[in-house]
Amino acid sequence: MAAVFRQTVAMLRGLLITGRYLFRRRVTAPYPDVKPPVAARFKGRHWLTLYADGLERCVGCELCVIVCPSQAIYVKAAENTPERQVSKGERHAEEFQINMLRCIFCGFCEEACPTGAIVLGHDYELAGYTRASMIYTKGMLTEPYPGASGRDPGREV
Amino acid sequence: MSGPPARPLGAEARAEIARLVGLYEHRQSALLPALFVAQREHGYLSPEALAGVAEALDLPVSEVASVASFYRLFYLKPVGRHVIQVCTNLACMLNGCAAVVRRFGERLGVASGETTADGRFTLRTVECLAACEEAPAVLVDEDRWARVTPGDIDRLLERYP
Amino acid sequence: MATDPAVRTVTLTIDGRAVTVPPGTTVYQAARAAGIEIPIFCYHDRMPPLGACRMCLVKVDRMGKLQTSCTLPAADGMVVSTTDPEVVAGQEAILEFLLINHPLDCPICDKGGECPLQDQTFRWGPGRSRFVEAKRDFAKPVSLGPVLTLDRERCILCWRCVRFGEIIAGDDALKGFERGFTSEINTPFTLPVESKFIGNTIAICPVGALTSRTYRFRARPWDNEPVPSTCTHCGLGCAVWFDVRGGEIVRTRAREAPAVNDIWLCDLGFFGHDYVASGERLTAPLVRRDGRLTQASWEEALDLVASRLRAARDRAPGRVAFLGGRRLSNEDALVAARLFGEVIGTPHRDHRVDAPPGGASLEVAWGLRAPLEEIARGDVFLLVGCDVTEEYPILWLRMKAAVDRGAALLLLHARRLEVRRHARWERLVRADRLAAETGALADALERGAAGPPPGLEAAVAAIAAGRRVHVVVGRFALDGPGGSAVLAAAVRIAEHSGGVLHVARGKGNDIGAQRFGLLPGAGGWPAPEILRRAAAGDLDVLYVAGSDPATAVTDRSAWDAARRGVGFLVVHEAFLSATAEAADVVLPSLVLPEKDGTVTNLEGRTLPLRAAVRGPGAARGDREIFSLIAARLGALFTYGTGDELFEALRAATPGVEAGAILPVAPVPARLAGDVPAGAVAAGAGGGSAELILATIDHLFTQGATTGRCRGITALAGAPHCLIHPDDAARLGVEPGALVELATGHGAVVLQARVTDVTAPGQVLLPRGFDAVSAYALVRWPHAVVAVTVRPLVAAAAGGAP
Repeated sequence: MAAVFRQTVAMLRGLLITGRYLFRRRVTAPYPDVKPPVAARFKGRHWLTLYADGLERCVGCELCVIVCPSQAIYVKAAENTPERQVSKGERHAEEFQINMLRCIFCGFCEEACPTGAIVLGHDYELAGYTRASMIYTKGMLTEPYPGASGRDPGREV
Repeated sequence: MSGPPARPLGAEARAEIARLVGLYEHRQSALLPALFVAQREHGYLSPEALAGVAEALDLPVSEVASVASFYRLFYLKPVGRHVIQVCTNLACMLNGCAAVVRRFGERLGVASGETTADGRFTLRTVECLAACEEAPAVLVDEDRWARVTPGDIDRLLERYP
Repeated sequence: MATDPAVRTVTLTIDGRAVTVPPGTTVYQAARAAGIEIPIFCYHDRMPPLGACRMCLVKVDRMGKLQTSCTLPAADGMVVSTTDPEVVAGQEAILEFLLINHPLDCPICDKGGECPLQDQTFRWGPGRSRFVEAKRDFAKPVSLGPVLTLDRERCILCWRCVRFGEIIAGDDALKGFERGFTSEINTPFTLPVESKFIGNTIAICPVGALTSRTYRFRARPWDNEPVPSTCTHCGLGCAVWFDVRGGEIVRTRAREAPAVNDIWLCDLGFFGHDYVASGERLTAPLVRRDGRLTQASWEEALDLVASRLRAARDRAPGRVAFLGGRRLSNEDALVAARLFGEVIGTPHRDHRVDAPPGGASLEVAWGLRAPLEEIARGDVFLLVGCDVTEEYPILWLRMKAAVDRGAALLLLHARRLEVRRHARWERLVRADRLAAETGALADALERGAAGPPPGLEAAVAAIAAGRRVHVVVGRFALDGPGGSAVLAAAVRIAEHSGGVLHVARGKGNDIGAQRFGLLPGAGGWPAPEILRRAAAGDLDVLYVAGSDPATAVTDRSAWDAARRGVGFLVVHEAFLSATAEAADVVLPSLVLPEKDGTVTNLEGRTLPLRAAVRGPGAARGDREIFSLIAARLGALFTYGTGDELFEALRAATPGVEAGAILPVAPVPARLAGDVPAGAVAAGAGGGSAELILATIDHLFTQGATTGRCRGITALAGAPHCLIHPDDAARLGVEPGALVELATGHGAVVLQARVTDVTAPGQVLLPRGFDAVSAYALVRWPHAVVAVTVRPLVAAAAGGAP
């Protein structure tokens, strides 16, 4: 008898906790219908940014390659020519790939970048059906127009 | 660019250089006088003249060109009939060489290092003519002019047709 | 430790540690020996100290100011500090000063990541600069020829590159110009740099002022996997690192090998690797069907080759012959020799494809007869028909070191050598006079007191006074008219002077091919005879590997006739070379940088090869191909690992040890064909032989491999010939104009360079340019032929004649 009573009290106490939350504010969101906001310094998908005049910031120096703790970045540099001036100065990245499966979004690449070319944006919906589709190439990483990534194209670095 | 056509060293210059070589223990020692011989013949030290000096002294062309570029009294580009060299080092600067250089430039219509269109004058600035006691000093060809003021310049230029 | 009272030492204290060194050691060297690091820029341990950069400052007790440790000789009782606050302040100040005009453009600089200035700024630098004014501004980057890029803004004026040209290479390629604030390193008038060693200046530049044009922006040091291997171009076997990125050799660096190349390389070694990654590499076997080469499977191609070999062997083993070996490894050569010698049983094997009949090249084993280190201690060098910088550049660096210590350099050639400024005696003769001149020199030496003929005094005096004489006979002399006479005279000179005779002959792995069985066996024919017999129809199968006889055989018509006369031609090739184009079966093979194994250098030293990259497509190693064919002929070669093969090499030739020298066969004291200087073949229309044509060697060429290396092709320039100014004036040939060279056998059109590098009455034609075959003009048995030179009016200046 005493056991039945103890169990009933315990159940009611549990229901009380549940009941308390029925009238509190909801903390979950119905993703993907509602996308939760991220912090200003959230580190998501990378962008290769442009200067305001459309020249690429990336000079292909490969500092991001050497600093990357998960070895996710591949860069092949090439020389600018008067006919094909891709970035300021002598050198640009001919190929730039990030393996998003390897990337741990630590942001070291952004910190190492001497020209502020690579920035980590807010996009976190990075899924794909194949491994190959998860290797982002230069065309995918370069912002479509200066400032598209959300960074001021007029900033110094 | 105007100026004498590039040509190899003449026989006379080669003979003079050969004589100079005999005066020194090492062939290299004859390099500076040999360069003056070549410059006297051509008016300036063209690549061909430097090659000629190198061959006459059996030295690498690169070494001859290197030495020639070190000294301000060797001209690696064609110069005018008269070369005006204005000292811009400390003593001359304190005594107003800037005005002298400016006046020369206005009067001749050229900047330092350039030659007038008629080929009469080349204007250059140099570091120290070893005449600090007479600052500002100007060297025209081989004549030294002391305490030159902007007002002297018209008269000075007339002396060099 | 045993103490020798004759050897004095000095003991000094560095950072509280007692260091004992021989007298004359600098404080910097003493510190380094004790494991104490002092930063340097201008000092380089292969050159004397200079004290230009001031980076190596140390504090020495009882000396008022900081001292440059690289120039300060260690003295007994000296107390040195490398860590005193004064020293630290001094080093920081020097680095701040060096960086005043440095652009700090490390992100785009190729030196970044392997830059002493970067590293030392990181470790010893002040961390910030007080210099806020505008930096010195130079045009950049400046191209100094096809392989070198100059960035004067980055230069810290350490003078290493200038001093390399003066002290190590002796070519004075780079110099300092202007002075003070405007000082710069450059060539005269920023012209393309003229040097065969300029890659070394890129290597020793402590900043990014001198960088490679071919490696430009291709990789960062951390991208590269360095593979230690051996350079297989000239035959000296310099140790190299192949830096591999993404399955491609992106650059070659010198690997330290004190006995061979020390820390240097020539530019062919530095820039001669592009061909490996060429898109024109053969990737599948080709078999001739209906007159055309078409792709086939390995099975099909190997079966066909094996069946033709079997048929020929069954008729008579001697109806098969093998040519080539220069581009094979030792192991390849051994397996080839077993296949053709044991399985097929033919004695007709020869690697000496470019030796003419009757030339002295066939009479004597190729190679140096003393180690390079011993040559560096020589006091007389007599070069007969050997253009040392064009043929064996690293050999010249050894000689240059000796010449600077007082050794006499004596030159006898049909062309002026670029090292002639360092020579004590130089004799420029026409090719057909080389034998007579060498003979005259030998006669004069043997006559002794009788007094040498005019012109030979200096040479005779130098050789007579020499105690360690090295006589070097080159290909030009051996294969020229009277080659045997030159060799015989050289033997006499070497014997009389108690010196060493070197046969500077052989490229790639020729010495390994010679050692491991690619020489005629008993009753076997040498290469020219193989070609003659092939033309006569005495051969059923001609098998070529590691050679391109169509361009290498010194009489093009002899090769063509051989090709026509032989029933079946099998070629191992990496490219569709002229030989491959004419073949019945082409088997795509690996090139030496793709192979594991060993090669033998000119000294007879066994050196390691390590595969830097994988071969393209279905290409296979030569020894694998030989083994597969042997298997089809019923012989199983069971070599498992490379080690087993090396054991087989050691068993085949006792004395072969990795890295060690096994001397090549001595030069016979008496030579077979000691004939007087040969006459020159009559000219085209039987005219007077007033102009003769001889082929010379160039380091930079446009052959099957070198033509596929960007830098080398550009350095080689357009195909050209050399004509003396007197002849040019007489014939109306303008410098740089196109001329037609014609002999009775053929004609070529190329550029004429008017220069007194050649003797009057003689046109010199560099070999190795596949587009213009020098050997189309030559007909055996004459190595030198009469030639007519006809200037062509340039098309732009009024139409073709």
